[in-house]
Amino acid sequence: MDRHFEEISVALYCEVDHDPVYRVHSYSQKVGTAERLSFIRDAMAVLGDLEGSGDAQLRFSCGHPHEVAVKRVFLEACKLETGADLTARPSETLDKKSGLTMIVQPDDDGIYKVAATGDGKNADRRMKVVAGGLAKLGEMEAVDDTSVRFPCGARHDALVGLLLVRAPNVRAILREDEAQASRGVLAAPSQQN
Amino acid sequence: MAELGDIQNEFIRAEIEEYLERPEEIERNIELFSRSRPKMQDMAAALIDGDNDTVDQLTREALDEGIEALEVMDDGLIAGMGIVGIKFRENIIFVPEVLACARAMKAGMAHIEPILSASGIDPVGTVIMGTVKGDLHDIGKNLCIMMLRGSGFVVHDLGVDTSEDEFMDAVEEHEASLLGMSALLTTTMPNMGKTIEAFIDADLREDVKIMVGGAPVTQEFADDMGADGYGKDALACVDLAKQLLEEIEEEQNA
Amino acid sequence: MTSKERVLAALEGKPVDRTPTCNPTSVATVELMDLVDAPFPNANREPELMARLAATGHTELGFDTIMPVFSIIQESSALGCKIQWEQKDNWPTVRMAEPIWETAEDIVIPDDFLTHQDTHCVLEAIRILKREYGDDVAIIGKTMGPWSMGYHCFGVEPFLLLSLDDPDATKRILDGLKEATVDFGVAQIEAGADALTLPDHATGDLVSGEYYARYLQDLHVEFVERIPIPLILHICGRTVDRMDYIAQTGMAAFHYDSKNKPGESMEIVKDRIALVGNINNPETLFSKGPEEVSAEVTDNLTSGVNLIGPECAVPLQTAVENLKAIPETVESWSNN
Repeated sequence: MDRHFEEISVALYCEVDHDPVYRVHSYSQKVGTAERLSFIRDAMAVLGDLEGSGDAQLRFSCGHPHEVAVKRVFLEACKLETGADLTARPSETLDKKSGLTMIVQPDDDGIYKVAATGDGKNADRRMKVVAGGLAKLGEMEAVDDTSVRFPCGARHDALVGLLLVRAPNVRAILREDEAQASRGVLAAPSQQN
Repeated sequence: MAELGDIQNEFIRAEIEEYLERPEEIERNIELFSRSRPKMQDMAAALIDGDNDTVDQLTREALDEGIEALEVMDDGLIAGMGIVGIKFRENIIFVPEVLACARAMKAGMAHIEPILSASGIDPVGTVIMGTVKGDLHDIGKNLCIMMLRGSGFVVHDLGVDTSEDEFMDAVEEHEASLLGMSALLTTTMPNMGKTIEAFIDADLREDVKIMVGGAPVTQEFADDMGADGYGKDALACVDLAKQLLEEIEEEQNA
Repeated sequence: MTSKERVLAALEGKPVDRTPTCNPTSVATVELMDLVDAPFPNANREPELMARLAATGHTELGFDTIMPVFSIIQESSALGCKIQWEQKDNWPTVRMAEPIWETAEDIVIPDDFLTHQDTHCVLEAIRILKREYGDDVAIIGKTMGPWSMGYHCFGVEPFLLLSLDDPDATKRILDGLKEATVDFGVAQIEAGADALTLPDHATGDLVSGEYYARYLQDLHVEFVERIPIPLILHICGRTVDRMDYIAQTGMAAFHYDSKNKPGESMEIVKDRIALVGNINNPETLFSKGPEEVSAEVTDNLTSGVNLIGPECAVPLQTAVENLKAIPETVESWSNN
């Protein structure tokens, strides 16, 4: 439900033609809906490293679906007000739990390594947690305890920057997803709290 | 070896004969009831029958006669609940009957709990207990909690239908070293695994020992889920909790 | 045949040109709310919005029925229960932690029971839908059974304990509440309903089949006599152990859920009652795609299930294309 535009319902559809492409859609007839959807598409393109395709569709340049990651990109794009500044997120973020700055560096083979700088504590443990968070949020593969890569092997730096913001506390994200998924499910009286 | 005929209470003999089918459960219950006092058997029978007035009366009488609170709880109340749990699992009884038995249990525990709390034992550890998300059954959990408290643990009871976040928040808030999760339905068991995963995601897994239990849970399931231990009943839960505390101490000293 | 003729024929056990698609429970979704600008919670309380949203079940999704009573709170609200209304993307619920009654003697059906905002809304919405669609489409109303109202008004645990402690008191409660079921049902017939869903949640996860026979079967037979319209009984969960009893009530249909297989269910009821269902909500309609929906529809069709639809009120975030797959599959199966 889009809290930035009259609580219209916005959905992300996957359409498979040659490669999987994504369409942002709403059934709302309200004036301004088309503009809102257009902004969300633009935001997804910048934040998630997606490119425009065909008729108002989006795709990853590598041609892979990256289904879990694209849902995250969509949800993050929907959190922005129309007109918000659209810049790709940097590859570093403050880890509030430890006080460290977590940095993700890609190499030419598409492997993203997590490193920590600063005066905080438990650096090894936190690096593993962040790598685990990236793996979960982006459906990335673990190369080792602190390195991950996308299954397609390609680099998607902007996408990793976006996921990195949430990776140190992936529980909060999953909690949000679970709460969202359980809304609108009608339970029999005996099943209600 | 004890036999069915060694059990004095006729109702209990009939319950075991008619409703228990698994050999190990039959053997365990015959053993248990044959060595318990007649008054304890009568109490268990009243509990199985959902008769909270009789349970209340017998509990008071037993305590007045000087029988130890722990014995009353183990041999009277918990023993009765064991049969109730089996009948519920086998769909012989349903939720209304279980609610009535739980009410009887509560009537007895109202006299026992104050005694156990006042026992003056030094707290040995802090445990968070809860039934997992989607599961509204708390009888097993409540038995474990009573046993744990009776053994000196400080227990924070999160109740039923507990989310992963509620478990994690409680562990952090109370600085608990132990977490116990209960599930009575095969459909809710996977939530134990999800909770453990949530602890990993939140970087809390190494801070707590996690034990699991409940009628459908097994050691194998517990191992697959990444739990630190499995307790097959309330008594085993206490032993496990103590064992896990020892492990924590060893790890800290290492 | 028109959609209406098809549905009524199926409910009466008569021949049809194809299996009808039927939603005894809600198929409202947030997308449909957007389409016709009729969002929750207002669509549960204002007749024009209720009718507009309900109509999309036929006009957009292609069902042979229109069922405007999306939630299950109308009667309880009119009886005085406190309702949590929620927002557009969530269901209104009764605050059962704050029950309004404790004993059978507390039951009062107020004088304004049928003119209360929430019951009146349903009656008016049915009148609107009857005017606009009533010639061709079956309009299905809904009246809650006394067991469900018992949960709402007394609280789930207290009510279940009472059913064990005092069967006579429980029966008195059911007898008191059944009048609300009848009054609301008859009023909906007068408003123009062609059939009524009757949810009565003596569900398999809580109470035994024997409970159904003891407490509800006779009442359901009475409803058939006192509410002169095809009745569709709805009970969630695993219900094979009570389907034989249900089949003897004289109700036109039983709306059964996905915990029961189509084949085994048809075996038990054996033409004594029509079956409606049973497309899975959480795992199929909500989580998967049109192909998986189509497979379940086909399973029901090949088992001879009389009317096809979702097993219960669909999650509000269910995709429109998944719901459309139900009538589309039925059409193409019939054409083959």
